[in-house]
Amino acid sequence: MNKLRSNKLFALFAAISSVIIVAGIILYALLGFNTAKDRPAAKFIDVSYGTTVVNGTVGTGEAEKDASVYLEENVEKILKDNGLTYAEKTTFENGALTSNDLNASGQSKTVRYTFPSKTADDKLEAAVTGIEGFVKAQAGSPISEGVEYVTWHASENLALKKAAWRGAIGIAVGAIVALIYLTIRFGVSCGVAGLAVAAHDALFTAAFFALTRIPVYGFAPLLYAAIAAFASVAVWTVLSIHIRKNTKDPENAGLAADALADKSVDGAWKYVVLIAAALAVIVVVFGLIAAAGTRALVLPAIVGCLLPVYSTLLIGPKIFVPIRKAFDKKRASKKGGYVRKKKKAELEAEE
Amino acid sequence: MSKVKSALFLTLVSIVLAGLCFMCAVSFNYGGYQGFRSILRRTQKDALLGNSYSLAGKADESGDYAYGNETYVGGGYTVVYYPEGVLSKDAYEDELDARRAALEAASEEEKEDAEAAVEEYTTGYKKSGSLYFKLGEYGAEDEKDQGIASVVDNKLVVDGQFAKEFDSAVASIRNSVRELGYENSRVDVRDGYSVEIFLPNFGNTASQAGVFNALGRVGGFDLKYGASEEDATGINFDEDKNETIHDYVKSVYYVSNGGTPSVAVRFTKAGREIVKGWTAEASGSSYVYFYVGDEPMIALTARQQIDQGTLYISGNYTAATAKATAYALNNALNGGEVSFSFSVGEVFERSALFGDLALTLCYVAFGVLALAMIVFFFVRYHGLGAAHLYSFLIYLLPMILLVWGIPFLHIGIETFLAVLFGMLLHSVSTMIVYENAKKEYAQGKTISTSVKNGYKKTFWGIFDAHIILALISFVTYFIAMGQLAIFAFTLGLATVLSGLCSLAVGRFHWACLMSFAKNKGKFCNFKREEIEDE
Repeated sequence: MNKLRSNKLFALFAAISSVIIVAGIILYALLGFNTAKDRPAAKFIDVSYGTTVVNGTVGTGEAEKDASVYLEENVEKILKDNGLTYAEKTTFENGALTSNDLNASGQSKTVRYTFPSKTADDKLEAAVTGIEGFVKAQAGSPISEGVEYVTWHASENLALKKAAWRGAIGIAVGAIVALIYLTIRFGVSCGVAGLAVAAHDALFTAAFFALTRIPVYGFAPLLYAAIAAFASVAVWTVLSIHIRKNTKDPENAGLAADALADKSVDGAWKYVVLIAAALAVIVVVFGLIAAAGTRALVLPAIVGCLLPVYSTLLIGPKIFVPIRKAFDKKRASKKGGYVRKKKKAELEAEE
Repeated sequence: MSKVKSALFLTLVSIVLAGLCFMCAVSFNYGGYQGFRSILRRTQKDALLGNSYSLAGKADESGDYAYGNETYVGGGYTVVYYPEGVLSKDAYEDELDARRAALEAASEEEKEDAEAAVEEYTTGYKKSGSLYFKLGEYGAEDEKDQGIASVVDNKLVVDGQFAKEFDSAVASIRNSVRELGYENSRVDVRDGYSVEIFLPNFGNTASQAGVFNALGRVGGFDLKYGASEEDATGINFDEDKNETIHDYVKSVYYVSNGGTPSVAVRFTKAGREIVKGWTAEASGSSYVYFYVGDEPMIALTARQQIDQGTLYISGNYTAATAKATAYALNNALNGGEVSFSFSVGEVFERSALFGDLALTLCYVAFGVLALAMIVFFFVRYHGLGAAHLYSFLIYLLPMILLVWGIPFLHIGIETFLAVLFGMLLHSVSTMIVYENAKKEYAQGKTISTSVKNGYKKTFWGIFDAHIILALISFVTYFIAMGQLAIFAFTLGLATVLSGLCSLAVGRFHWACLMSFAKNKGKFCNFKREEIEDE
């Protein structure tokens, strides 16, 4: 632990963090996050069919199978033949909207195949033509009667940016307000260093997702950044409590800022690691038990849970030390001034 | 605390907690068609999480619960809207097939007209992407010449004014959907010129239909009065003064008027005078119409003279339909000019994105983590585990009630995470207190002094950690939006409850439970330090 806290390694850690944060910001500016899970832009092929297909069968004897299964198998074969690989397949129930009701039709369905937004339009058009040709060729079977339409379309959603922007401001202002309280309770050096650590964790987490291009839901990087900032503030408070306790302890009178920081880290690191580990356990257990979609949302939050260990124990104290030294110096000079004034007054009184 | 008092207190608390647990988690049927739905079941759910309930589930339109029906939570509805002049492939082909069928069935005399109808249709539309665009001049006086696009160098060029108005209409719909505030709702533009809206399933299909119908209403705002739509007359704007509707109507907004969902229309002085004049002799046979585009969105029966600065219209609205109507009217009032209307195309019902078992699995995961935490406390602190269990339940059950009772909260992944993080904060705080008391006891102090000192030494640290987390959470909630805001607010609530339970409730239960223990050190699994004699 002490080796990890050397000034040499701090320079390395600071450099690593800076590079990751700056590179993340640049990549975010250029490409944004990989919000593929939310499909902000995508292309789709919809195959809609009615009850004839849902209830019908094709083939006879052992070769008999549900018409919908046979249709979907062939649709997927045609997609493959046209060089298309879908990212997701979803089945909707078709419905109807009237002036006073919204109903699902019962058994009429639409199977939607989702493709990345860069998929060529002509490939999709060719696949739709191929599927229509296949349907026409099934004369006399439930498929030719029951398929209602086959179409492709592109969708775009631009509403995510405002939420991202407001979320980032929210986390920043929240962290500042919380750290004002920290400053009042534990002193400026703890407040400023805590703010730096929280900002580092939030930015590092967001940058991590911008750099690694892990596919996430649109709102997720901010949620992870918020978790990192909140966890960071929580564990930094634990360290601040130790700093204050050590400052007040008469045994530590005259202890230099760096020695005070080291002693506080020695006392607090177990709690910091315990809190971060418990957060990580929650995220991992919840992620592993939950459904696949939930897992994809929850598991990446582990970055925000573990990062505060690194920043609170290895970066924060190094930021705290020079600020504390400056304040100690200022306090000492004020105290010196006060003593000099007092002596001067005493001398004047004697005269 | 005396044994009797402790027993009485613990019994009372246990009964209340058992009752709350029952209310929060258990649903059942009675009398065949009636049912009680637990708080957890009543709480709104995120559309991403799916789950089906097979007991006392489905409320029909009258609010009764049909026995044996399954209720599915999660997922929602998608509705596609097409502006005038734009057709989906399905709609275009249906119409073309109908015209071709008419041609085939046509007699010799009708044949020429039927051929022209097919010809007009095939040459009148141009396909681009999956959409068919009507060719012609946008806003042309003659209906025959009307269209929204033209073909230049064999390429489709959409009219600039139409494109501008379409963007304005989409912005207006986005505003309304955002204002409605349904989690995971989204508005997508399809193929450049159609709109797809997804709203989570909120149970009442009639109300949901009202919301979708209101969202698709775009166009200019107008105010008219008359005995019928045909006879209704509007405001005569003074062109010399460049008057617009804004000189008569200030805004339209949603308000819950004494618990009744209403649409409020705020008039200017001139607007109030106009309506007052119109309705001077009203007797219930005339209407004040509030138009969006070419059709009235509200037809208010004028039974007497209306002389109000703000008019509250209640009708048969649910909160959702009143909101959607108010936002559509206000967007029409303040949005850009839109001269077309939308028609409804495909409607899809979709199940939850995270899977049909997602909610059940979230409950299981939460249960496993809570159980692990409780087991850890019982193993490490023996009887003290019960004190922690009580304070944990006092943290958890109000959390469930708050998530149910606060309108903008719902059960979702972010809520689960926030409640779990709150649970962790509560457990860590309690553990720090127990560990401090354990150290004190090991040094030879009595159990009551150890408890007192344990709390005294850790109080301000725990207090500060909770205040700081609550501050950051609530401030983030006020600025952020969407899931992050919900996570932050729930975490803020969880932090406050955790603080109360760790610092007050837990200590009280500790005192109560200790009164029954003969060997208090053993009860808490606290041991004295062994001093070796030399």
